[in-house]
Amino acid sequence: MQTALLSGLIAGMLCAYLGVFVVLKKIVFVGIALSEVAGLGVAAGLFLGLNSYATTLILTLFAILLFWLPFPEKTVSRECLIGFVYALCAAFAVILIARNPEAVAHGINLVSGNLLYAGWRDIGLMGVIALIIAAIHLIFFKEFIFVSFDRETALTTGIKANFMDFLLYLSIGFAISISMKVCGIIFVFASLVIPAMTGLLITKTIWKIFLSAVCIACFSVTIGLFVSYRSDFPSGPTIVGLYALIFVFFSAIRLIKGISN
Amino acid sequence: MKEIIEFKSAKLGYGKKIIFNALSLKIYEGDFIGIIGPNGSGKTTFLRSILGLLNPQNGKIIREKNVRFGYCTQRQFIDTIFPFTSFEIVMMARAKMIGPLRRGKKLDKEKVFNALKTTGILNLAHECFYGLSGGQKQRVLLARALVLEPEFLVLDEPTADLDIKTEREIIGLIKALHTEKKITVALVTHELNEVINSAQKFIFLNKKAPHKIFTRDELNEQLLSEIFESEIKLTRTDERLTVL
Repeated sequence: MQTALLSGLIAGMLCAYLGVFVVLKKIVFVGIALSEVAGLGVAAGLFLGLNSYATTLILTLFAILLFWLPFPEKTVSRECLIGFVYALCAAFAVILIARNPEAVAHGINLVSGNLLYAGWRDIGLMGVIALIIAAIHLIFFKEFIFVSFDRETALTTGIKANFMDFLLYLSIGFAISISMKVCGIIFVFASLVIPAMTGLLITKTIWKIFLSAVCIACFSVTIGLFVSYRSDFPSGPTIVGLYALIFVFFSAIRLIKGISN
Repeated sequence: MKEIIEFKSAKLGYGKKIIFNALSLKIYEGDFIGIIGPNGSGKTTFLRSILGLLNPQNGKIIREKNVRFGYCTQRQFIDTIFPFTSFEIVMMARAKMIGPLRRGKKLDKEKVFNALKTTGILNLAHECFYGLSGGQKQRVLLARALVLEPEFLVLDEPTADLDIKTEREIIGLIKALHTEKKITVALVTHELNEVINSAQKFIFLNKKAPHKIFTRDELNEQLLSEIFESEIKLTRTDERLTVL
């Protein structure tokens, strides 16, 4: 339970923080596609008998380059490419898992994850990557904000917007990669989107949006894990259910306030 | 007068889509240039090449070294989902000057407040950008361009979708910045009546014909009618030109 809570907190808080950038840059579909790519990475690693974190990071890096590089939208739009990558990776991940009894034996569930299977080795790796991402964001936070908000103007002020974009994509991709094996696609993708959306609903200050997104993730993971443990529910979907409940709760309050005003 | 930028037979475009085949012109220190043309004529492409965001496929663009640019983007392109305040948006432009890992110092904050004061919206410093009117948003973006203390101000349709009163106020503000702070200005606009009374030089862009450069004194009805392919009347009252 300790390892489940720790891994859930690291993944949830990291994804919730980065999710604010995902929402700000309007790259939600990139988020879900990267989640599927990372899912395929886990499946491929287990199928080939390789380190699944390594295969996940390599595949995610390729996907980041694909999404980051300029895409000539002549006949096919960028959204279509993202959709294609999503569908392809989802299909192959299912095939590889179905053909690999070892994955089933290890309790690997790419969709809903299984936090209770997280080991100290997983937590160590997640912690190290999370610290590296935190350091990068501490250094370049205001540059990331500017590039995400108004890339063109950021370029004119001398900021290396392409590099900043790449670093941002890289941190999102790596956060997804390290979270995928134990947390599953539903948890990772939901952590990237719902806490940031809720943060936007409840606060009117940018730093408070980041803080509230992280706090919502923290709260949902802790309570969600407790509920899933007591009621024998799958952990990932239970946490996502809590994310959604919190979002609906604050939406309702906002709606009622709007009507009463 | 000192040249700030020189376009030497610059071929500009995006891949195979060529907007200008051989653009040649000079922009001097202290110029106020109005860039006019129909939609899709390459006005924004021209601005992007001034700013160095678009390199020529052929020819050259020679820029005076160390010229500080201030860019005022179209406010319609600015996302309004996130609750950034006017102060935060203007401060963003100083990110490069402040440097990584550091936060804005007292001096940076003073410069931000000064820029907001110059554009007349100091009282809106801590208001959310999305809640502001079109004119107020435009002033925030102008303040963001000014916070870098530019020598060359590049403005992309700052008066688009504004009412006449606000439009005149914004153009008046740009004109004042040009005369009082001696800032070189390149202004893209569709508002012919406002720009012909503010700018000294005009670049008329048109896909079908080569670009044309004129001074204010050279403007006449025949010329404008030729450029806009329709009959244009020009009246002059108290030194103010009006297009009919």
